Amino acid sequence: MEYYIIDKLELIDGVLVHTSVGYLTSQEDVDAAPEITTQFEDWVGTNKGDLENGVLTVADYFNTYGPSYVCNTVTTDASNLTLITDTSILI
Amino acid sequence: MPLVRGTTTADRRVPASNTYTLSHNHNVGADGYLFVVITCPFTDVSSVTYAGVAMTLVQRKTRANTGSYNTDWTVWRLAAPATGANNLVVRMVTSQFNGVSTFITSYTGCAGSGNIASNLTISSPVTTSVAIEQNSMIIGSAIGGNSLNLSMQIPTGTSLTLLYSHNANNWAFGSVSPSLGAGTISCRADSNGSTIMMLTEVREAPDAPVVNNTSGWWMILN
Repeated sequence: MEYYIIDKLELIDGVLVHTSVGYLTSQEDVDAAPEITTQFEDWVGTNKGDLENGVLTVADYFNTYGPSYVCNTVTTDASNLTLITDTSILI
Repeated sequence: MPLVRGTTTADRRVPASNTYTLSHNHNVGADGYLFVVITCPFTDVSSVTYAGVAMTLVQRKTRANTGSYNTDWTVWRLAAPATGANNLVVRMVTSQFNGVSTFITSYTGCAGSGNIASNLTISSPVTTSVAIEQNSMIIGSAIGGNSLNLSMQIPTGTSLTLLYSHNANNWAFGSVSPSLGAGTISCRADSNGSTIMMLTEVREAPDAPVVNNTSGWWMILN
């Protein structure tokens, strides 16, 4: 069985922090959850040049959009986490 | 003790930093080992730790080695890792604003890494072979030009379910064979784009020596 790990992505004391908050059990469940986005990655892709040149920092993203939820990791053992049964709690 | 593949974790992210952290749950068992494959475009991985312990580099294909893929491609190992959920921390030379692929596998009954091989001549399919010992597994990793029609055959002719498939500027994918017989194993990777391939042997731990209690003093009773 595969577990799709959901992380809260936020900036804490200037450091980008991923905090795992639970898991879903399929890519379809991830795709169906509007709270789980690729907005941060999309923003980095759009602004990659300015980020590399120091014109922007990731703080600019979080100052505008705040924390977000992402799914980067798929694992076969998530026994340290719990199933997210209602993604609307991810706010 | 047989070599057994345990927990697998596949991660793809845009770190937007020069470091990133993810959790992996290493399972309990004798002769535990952890292997990590990292596909990192445009900058180099400088260190990897698991549960705070530095991992050892098994093989590296530099950005120069990987040519137009411009990707630092590395395999790391750690003997007797801490069991349970622990953090893998990857540090890079510069901040990374592209996708990075990280593939982690736990093993028990493992003696560590053995032989390695690669074919960095971009082609599709790409083939290479590696000599392995009895009951070894092979971690097959590939980088292809796109995500279409990916496949990993270890040995050639036996398609494996891909255990990771990630957009890392180009496409990183791979799998792990079951335990195989000793010999030189030909392997093949395919994608619709041009592909390169890297192999790592994972060796089985030798059986514990049998205690043969025939030495010492004996008393014969009639």
